[in-house]
Amino acid sequence: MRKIGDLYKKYGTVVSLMILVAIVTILNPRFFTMYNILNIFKQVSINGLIAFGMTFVILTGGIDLSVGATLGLSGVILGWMISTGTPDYIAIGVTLVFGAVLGGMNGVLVSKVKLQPFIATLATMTMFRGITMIVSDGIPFMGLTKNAPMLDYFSQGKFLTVPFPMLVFIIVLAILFVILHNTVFGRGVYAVGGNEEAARLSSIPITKIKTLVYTISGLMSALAGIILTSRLSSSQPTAGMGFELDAIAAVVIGGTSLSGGKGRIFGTFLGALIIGVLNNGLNIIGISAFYQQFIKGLVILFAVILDRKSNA
Amino acid sequence: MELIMKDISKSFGDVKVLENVGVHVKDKQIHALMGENGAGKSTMMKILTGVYKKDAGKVIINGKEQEINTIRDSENLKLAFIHQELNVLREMSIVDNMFLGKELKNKFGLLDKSTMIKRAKEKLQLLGLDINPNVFMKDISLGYRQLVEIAKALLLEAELIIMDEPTAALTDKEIELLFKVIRNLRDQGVSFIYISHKMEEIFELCDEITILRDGKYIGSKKIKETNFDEIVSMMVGYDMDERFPKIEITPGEVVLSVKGLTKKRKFEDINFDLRSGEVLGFSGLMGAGRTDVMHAIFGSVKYDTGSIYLNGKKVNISSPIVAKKLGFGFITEDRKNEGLILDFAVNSNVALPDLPNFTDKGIVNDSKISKTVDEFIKKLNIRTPNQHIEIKNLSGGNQQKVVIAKWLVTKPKILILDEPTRGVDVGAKKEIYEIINELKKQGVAIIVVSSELPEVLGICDRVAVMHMKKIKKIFDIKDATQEKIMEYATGGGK
Amino acid sequence: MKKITSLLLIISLLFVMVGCGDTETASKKEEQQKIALLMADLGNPFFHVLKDAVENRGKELGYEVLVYDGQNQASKQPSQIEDAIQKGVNAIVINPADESSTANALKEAIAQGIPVVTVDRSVDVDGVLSYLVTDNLKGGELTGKWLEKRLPEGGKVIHMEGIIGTAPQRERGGGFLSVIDPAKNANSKFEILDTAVGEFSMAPAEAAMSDLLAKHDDISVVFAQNDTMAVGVARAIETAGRSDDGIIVIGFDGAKEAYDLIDQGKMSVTAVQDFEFIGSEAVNYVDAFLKDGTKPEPKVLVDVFMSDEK
Repeated sequence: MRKIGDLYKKYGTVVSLMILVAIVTILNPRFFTMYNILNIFKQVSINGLIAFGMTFVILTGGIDLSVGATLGLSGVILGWMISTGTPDYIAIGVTLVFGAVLGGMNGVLVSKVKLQPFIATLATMTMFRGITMIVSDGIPFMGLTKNAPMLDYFSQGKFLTVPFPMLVFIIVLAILFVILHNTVFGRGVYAVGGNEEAARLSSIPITKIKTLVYTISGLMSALAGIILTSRLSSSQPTAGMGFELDAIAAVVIGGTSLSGGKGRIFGTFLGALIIGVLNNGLNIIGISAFYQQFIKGLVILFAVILDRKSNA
Repeated sequence: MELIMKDISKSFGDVKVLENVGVHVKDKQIHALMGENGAGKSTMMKILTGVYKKDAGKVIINGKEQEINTIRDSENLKLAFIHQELNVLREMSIVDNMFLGKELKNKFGLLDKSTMIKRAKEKLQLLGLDINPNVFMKDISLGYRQLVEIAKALLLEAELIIMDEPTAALTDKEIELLFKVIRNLRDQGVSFIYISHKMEEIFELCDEITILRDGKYIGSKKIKETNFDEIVSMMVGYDMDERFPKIEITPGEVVLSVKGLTKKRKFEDINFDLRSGEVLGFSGLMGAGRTDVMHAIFGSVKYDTGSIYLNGKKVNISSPIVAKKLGFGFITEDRKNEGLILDFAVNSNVALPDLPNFTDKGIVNDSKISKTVDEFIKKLNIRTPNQHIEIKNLSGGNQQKVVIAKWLVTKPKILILDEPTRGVDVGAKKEIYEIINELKKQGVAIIVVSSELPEVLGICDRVAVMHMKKIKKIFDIKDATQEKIMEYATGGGK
Repeated sequence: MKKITSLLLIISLLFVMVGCGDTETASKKEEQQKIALLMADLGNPFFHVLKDAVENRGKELGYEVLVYDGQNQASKQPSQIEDAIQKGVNAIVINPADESSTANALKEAIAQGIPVVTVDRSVDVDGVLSYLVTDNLKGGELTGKWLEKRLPEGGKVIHMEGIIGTAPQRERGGGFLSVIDPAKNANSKFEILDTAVGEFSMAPAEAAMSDLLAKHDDISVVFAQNDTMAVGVARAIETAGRSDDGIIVIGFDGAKEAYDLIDQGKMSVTAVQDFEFIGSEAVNYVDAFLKDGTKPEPKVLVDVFMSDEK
């Protein structure tokens, strides 16, 4: 039993994902086509990138509720720049920096002003939503990819046969994986979440680390915002509503503890895939909308319970 | 109550932690249970109180064999266990803590607060504690919290109370009070199992002693018929020569000079010099301000006025990050909350303060860490299966050595050790003293904050005695005695 | 210290904001009559048509219109109503976020003799002057009939639903299905291929449509219950490279972006809610009542029209 538990701990999320893929494929073989798999990756990349940033924050024992609002605001800023004639490569660069700054603000509120992350990001979430409305006047920017080939590339581009958003997703995963697991900063992230006081007394720069994780989260949200804007060729002021919950779900399904200090970014990758496969699979199988939400909740619950069992 | 535990065995997975151990606690007896950390005392007591299930053996209470499967079972048999890490809810009042899970209700089903407060007060007064039961747990000292836990056991009308290192955090006055209470209760028919590493206490308090080693029963002795050396050799399995292996070194230059350090309500006008190759002890009662001074020097709390000189140069230590850069190391008093990340592996804990020096081009070099950690595991004789095991699975003494290792890796020039041997067994204590000696030989300047006077007298070159937030006296160790130190620590002395 | 500074900063910021609001309203003429317009969610661009219609008609008739945005949170509107009453408005036109949250606050307004007109959604309270709403059921039917005319031989239909359980979702879908779904209309030559949920917004509709495009090769029609979703559907078809499939995309609302896509050939039609009419009519009712106490019908159903028919 112990052995099985250990195995599950290591490969449980992968097994869950494989079981899910198998079930959906049996119910409708069209699920398992190259076209649909790439389609899933394109869709997952948005929630996945946000969840990557969220993983850093949650590992420090924090939470970032403002990711969806950051995505919405970044998208609207991008849309505003593009529609006022800013070259798309500049607009994309500025949007990324802008997202990082928004995240950095959260970071400062948490690390320097010492607000509780939940409260701080709840407040900034509301503020960011407000700014989004002010900037856009509630009206979406449309037809953005028409004269912006680089922005268009963010959803429609292909590198060899790999869709560009999927490529971004995988590359960012690789970079963040190295940062989290192989750098001093990454170790510090775990240390802050494991025992902040012990970390502080071990001369770990906790203020810097906390500020940085929220900055990463903001940057990831902005990146996801760019991809979503590109996908829709428009920036919706309401975009990203509720995305924070999907991101948190991906992190938790991936085995990261909400109390911090424990978890892996690869787990989050798998968690995001599970949610993505679930969303897509339920559509592909043709499950009634009434049951979709229930089944989604059930799968999340199941994944988390299995994870706790294997950790016990 | 008479308790016999017989032929108890217990394994965790493949690891045998108890092998046919037993203890016989007679009625109206204070029975000491001794053994080094990892000897199996705690496991045995957890079996007795229904936390763990035994694999084999018998528990006989007042002549009747009992099955104890849950904590509730043990409570019904009038057993109470007061843990070393107190299970207190800091944000609740004393009375709420005492009645936790056993709240009294009035006829409306609401909490019967007045009765609870009355009964809490009774029990506290029995212990000689005149304290308002509505005070929050966080607002009373560690020592008082311990006494509240005892009062809680009394509330359950316990007939056998198990105490695990109850005096680790108590002041001498509190210890005296505790002992008086224990003796009183014994005379009224309560038996005690008393777990401690403090030999002096056991000889003062207990009637009989049972010794475990490596999960095995070694023997039982009447206290009157045994002595210090016999017990120690039973515990460690060999004859130990000296408890405090002190070496004499001529101290070097003054490395650290603290002048007029003051923080409101914490400490006042702290002045001292520290030389390389010197061990300066800090003695005093709990709350005298010793730990706060150390935190201020290390930059983890701010001070109001005063200055710190390092090698004659004034320094501004604004954070532990700066302190580490300047060559300070700080082994904190509270191992679990401040010293270690319990979910981390041994190697991650050891490498934590010096991580930036384990990198190649920004990437952490794990094999380098692994090599260094193995080196320190060997050097400090840390008993762990391997360096990848989570630190929470190690015994207290070994955890403490990991905390020390963590700072030795940074090659500190000034090392502060706050209660370095608290909750550590005799063998490991001596090993820690030897580490301190080794550092001294290398010319490290060392501060040892300790509440154990024999330890201070045994390993320090000088000792600063604090009372009421001030240094009252700095003794040369050859002029110091336990009595003199206590005199200054309690406000006497001239 | 830092905490205090930031606190002060926030407080002063609030004062500045409040101050701005005050000067703005105070500078207007005192004797001008005021109408409060409470919008459930100005985040939805489509409702700007309604807002503009009320503002324009109000201006024409000499009213000052105070606009409140409920930001799609039902909890905001009651305090906005109280605020409006405080400011002494003469009438309230409200697009409620739900059917009950504002009931008590509106009761208070009605008790003070302030006429209340609700638009697009009703509120469960007595004494409302009138309730103007698009006839969603009829609109759904009309859409279905339009489709029957367009594809007399029938076809395979995807039904993109809004937020499940809301009145527009039930009524628009119900009206449409009563014509198109063979289970409900034996004469229908259509087949409902799949039903998906787009929550009335673009991203989920786009994602769901992408999934369905992977599943089906033979989609001939998509009915989206609002235009925002229709735009997402059209985008999914475009980016999947399926523009040549000739899929008919039908929206609902009559939003500007839908008209744009219709011009580009990426959408076929939208069922237009006559918000211009609803908005100006609401002001007309209020105006007539304030002038001589004329009471309109308590509930007025407003027809939709297909964008290619007017």
